[in-house]
Amino acid sequence: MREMAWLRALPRPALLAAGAALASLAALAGPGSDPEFERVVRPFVLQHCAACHGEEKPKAKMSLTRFADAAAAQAAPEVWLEVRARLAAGEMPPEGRPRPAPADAQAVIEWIERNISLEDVASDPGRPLLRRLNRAEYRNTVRDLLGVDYPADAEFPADTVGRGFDNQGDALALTDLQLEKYVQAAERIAELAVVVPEEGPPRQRRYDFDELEGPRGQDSVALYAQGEAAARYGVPRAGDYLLRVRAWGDQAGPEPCKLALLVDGIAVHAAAVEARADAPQVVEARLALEAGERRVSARFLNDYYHPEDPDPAQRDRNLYIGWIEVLGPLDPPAITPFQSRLLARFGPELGSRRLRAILEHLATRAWRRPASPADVARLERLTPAGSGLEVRVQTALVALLSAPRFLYRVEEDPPGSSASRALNGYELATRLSYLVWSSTPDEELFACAADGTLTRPEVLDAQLERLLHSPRARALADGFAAQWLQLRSLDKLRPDPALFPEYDDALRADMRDETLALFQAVLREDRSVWDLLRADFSYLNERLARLYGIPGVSGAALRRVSLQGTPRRGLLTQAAILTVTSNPARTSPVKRGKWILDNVLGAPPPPPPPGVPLIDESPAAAAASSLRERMERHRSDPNCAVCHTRMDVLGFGLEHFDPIGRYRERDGAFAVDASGSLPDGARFDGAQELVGVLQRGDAFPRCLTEKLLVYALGRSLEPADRRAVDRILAELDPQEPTLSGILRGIVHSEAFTRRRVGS
Amino acid sequence: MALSPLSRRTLLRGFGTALSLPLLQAMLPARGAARPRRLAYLYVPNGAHMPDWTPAEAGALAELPHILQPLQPLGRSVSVLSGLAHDKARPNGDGPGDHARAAAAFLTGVQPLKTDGQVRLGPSADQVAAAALGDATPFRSLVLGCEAGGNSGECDSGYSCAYSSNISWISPTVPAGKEINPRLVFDRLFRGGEDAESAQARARRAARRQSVLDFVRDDAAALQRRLGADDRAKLAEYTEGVRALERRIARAAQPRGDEVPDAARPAGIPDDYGEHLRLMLDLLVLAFQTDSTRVASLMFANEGSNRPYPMLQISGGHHEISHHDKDPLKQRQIRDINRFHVEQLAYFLGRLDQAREPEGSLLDSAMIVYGSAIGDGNAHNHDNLPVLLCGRGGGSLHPGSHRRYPADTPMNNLHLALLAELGVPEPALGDGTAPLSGL
Repeated sequence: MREMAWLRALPRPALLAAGAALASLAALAGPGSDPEFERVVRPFVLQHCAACHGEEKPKAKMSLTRFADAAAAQAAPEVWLEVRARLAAGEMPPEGRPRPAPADAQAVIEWIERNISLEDVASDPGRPLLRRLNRAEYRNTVRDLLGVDYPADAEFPADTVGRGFDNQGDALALTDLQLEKYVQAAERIAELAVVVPEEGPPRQRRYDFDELEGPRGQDSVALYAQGEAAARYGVPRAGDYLLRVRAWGDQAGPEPCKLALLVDGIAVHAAAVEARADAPQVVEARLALEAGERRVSARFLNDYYHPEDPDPAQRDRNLYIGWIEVLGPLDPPAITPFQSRLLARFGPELGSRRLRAILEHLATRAWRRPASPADVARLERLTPAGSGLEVRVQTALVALLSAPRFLYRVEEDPPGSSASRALNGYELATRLSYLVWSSTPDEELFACAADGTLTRPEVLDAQLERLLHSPRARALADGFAAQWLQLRSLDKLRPDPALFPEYDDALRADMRDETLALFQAVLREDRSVWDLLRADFSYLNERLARLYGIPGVSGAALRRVSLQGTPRRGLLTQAAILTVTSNPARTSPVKRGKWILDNVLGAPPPPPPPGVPLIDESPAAAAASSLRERMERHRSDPNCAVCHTRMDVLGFGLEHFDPIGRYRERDGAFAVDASGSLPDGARFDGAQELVGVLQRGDAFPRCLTEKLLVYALGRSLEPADRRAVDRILAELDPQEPTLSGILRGIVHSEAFTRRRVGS
Repeated sequence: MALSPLSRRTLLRGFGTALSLPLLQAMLPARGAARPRRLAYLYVPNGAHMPDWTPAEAGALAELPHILQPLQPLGRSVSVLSGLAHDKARPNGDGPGDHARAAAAFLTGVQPLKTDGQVRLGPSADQVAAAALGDATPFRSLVLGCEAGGNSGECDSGYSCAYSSNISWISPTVPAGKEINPRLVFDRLFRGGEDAESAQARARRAARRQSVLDFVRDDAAALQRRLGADDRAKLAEYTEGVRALERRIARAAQPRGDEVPDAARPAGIPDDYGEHLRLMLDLLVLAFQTDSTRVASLMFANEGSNRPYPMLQISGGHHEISHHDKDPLKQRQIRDINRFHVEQLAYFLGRLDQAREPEGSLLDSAMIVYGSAIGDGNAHNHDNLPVLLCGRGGGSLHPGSHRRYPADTPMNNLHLALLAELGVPEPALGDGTAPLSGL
């Protein structure tokens, strides 16, 4: 039955045609009765499913025993398609239950495929859960809304992943800790977006010696040798500040004490300190500081220690720091880009009408739908009327960015809507811009939402096109491609440093960038998605080219390089993919094969059964036979063979590439054998031929479409969505399907443009 | 003259020790007269080299085995518990993934759901305690670690990374989210999450924050009424977060006995792992000492961690070495890593012991569970786990011995016993059957 997963890799039309022919034969026997259902399916259900999926409190609320005949089953296509999927994946019956004979399960699967069609599944756009912005979406949204770059990745806890992506509604929880961080972030962002002119004298912050870092003496930081006294000062905004240091010294030797003032370890001022303990002096310097936490320090520059000097007063020169003080900002604040935008839009004249106009604009954009007069009134009440405009806008921003309508993408069903409804323009604009940009709609898209044109297919098309051609579409590479291809795992991997000393952070970043560059080229140049697998060019810099053994590439910047005359083609031969699918010290044909099944063919293998013996990795075994021989022995266990015959074979096709993606003819003492034949008889030798085999049928575009649809909807795919996938594929150019074609199919699909009302 | 500058950690530590009676006396009456008890769970990954962990005899602790030797001076505050097991960390039909399951089961006793990118587990012992005790302190619990969460992708044979990088779970689907940056922990505990700034600015900010929270609470309530049931459940997480933050603001407004000075503020994540661990432990001590929280968890590293230990001259990864295949060199390295972790525990217990309260030390009031939900890293077994119970629990624990429990005694029974001691009414947790006795 596990072989059946292969069917997903076969061309669909062939399957459907065979199924239809048989189904029409079955129909001759009269409505309701199908001897094969009674002979094959019903007994199977009674024997293997009834214990959990009977009539009384069935598991997953799914009773299978209630289907007495074929007609009943055909009336519930979504249930039976689910049964087919679970059986094919080997997930049911669950582990621990007696296993059905594979032929029996196979017969049930085939009956379902012949008799139950996706076309029978009732149309259902599905119902995405409320989706919280993930870290990337939050950062992009704030950047595009307010021109503030907030390091959300560093400040917020990691987002939980569902179905391989970090933008899935059910997986994106919100904890107390997270809410706290959101409110703090809103405060900081509002302060960075809107500068409030300071009132009164400049702020003064003094760090007494006992608050300073550095060796502590009686009444000072005592620098007996080269060393420093330091404080961490939170600079409220970029501007001019006065740094002051109270210092004195034990004077000895030919010159007075010297100190340097430093900001973040960089010397900005130097001065002599001639004072002694009886009359300390203050050294000061006016400095331009950037906003954020800065380490300000005073360093002792000229230690002098001559214990043999006959004059005790001339033996030791030491410097003492009594306090460090920062005063400022001293200059008036410069307004931010966001403030100048507001100024340009709403003019400089004061008045409550202007405030309300600004608040309405901000609330509309931050919450991605028109603000109501009540929203504006509540925002207006938030700050006392006496405060300046800046303070009022700042406070409103804190509230807007902390509110659920900002943090979640809300789709609110109006009362009295029927079973499903079309999204309004704002909801559609939001889905579209978060799909392509991982960010909020821009002015133009928002305008299309406001005038209602976005729901027209040709406008939706044009907007998708425009979004895809914006530099912001880079988010699709970082958000979708990097997760689909499991590039984020690169950060967690540590190839054995003894074997691969050249693998470092820089090389890892290059690997990732190479793969994303190919994805972006296919997207930007509207190339066939097959180019992802077969491209005879890639994006290399000197470091990667050296790894690949390709001459003539110098410098750190990636550029397009031809792969003609090399054994490499497309994603599968890129170092990033070859590395994420390897063990630290050796390649893993199993992982590589599984990666191909998961991410190229869309046919993930079921998890291995318990108690699987591992392959012999001892040094003695490794010296005696090749990895391939050992794995083949391992595979002689029939329990393992069912899956591993295809997993390992696919993986062996990439054996010419070592654990960090270098080409090799030998693995240790053994010549590499990268040949293989698949259960359906297809044969290949090496990566290029393997890539050829993978281009049969529509498994790859289908897999890519399913992954993109999950990414776009933020939920799992249901039977009705499978039909959407079929439709999207049918609309594509069968020879040269493109990413933009798949995306166009997605944004026009029911699942994307409508939502189910009610749970 | 050569004087090495004091490290930030030393300052933090120095401050913690200096901060003693005046602060606690000033604070305790406001927070209830009964002497508080503290609960902490410390998790170490990849099991232990058990031959050098388990004392030869049951009964009063005498000479400790090699790994536990750093605890020798504190022997009377420590019990070694042998024979505990986590059945839910076993495959039970779910195939490989022992590391993910181990961290998942450690405080929950629940079999984690293994499926395509979903998580489902159960609440953890610390979060059950936090929910029961939480309102007594500004923070219901402190959830710490030394390695980033990496909730993305699968980490162990098809399990979500959320399992191997979290032991604290608020609910079956929501990990509590741990902090790994000592500076952020400090700011959260003592600065209302803010960088150093004037008291006046802080007060202004607190006032604004309160009005903002009023605003968003109304907003969430209005939205709540207009959403479907499943979306309402999502939004409830938000509303609960607002409530928790409001509680904290209300407490922060109460006069405090002292202010923790800026000098004690850690700079960030130290390069040295030992320093990082000790800094997190210092912060835990300080959090208990200031009664900021009474419940905490700390993952020394994520389960399956493959970090090298250069300070022990070990350049291979911990996880890889733990599959030692009886190679004596690897076994010795595992033993060294285990002992290094126990040294940090000894440091922590020592600090708690030095921190005086009106009725003894913090260690007297503490209940600290240290251990792993993998027995031997090579065998991947989940019985006979390496587990220590430290502290006197305010007189309810009687440490100082090696206790052997019948094979396969659920570790959750230990959790149940501690929850009962904390006064959680009729505690129930995962696969626990009855509170462990004789602690």
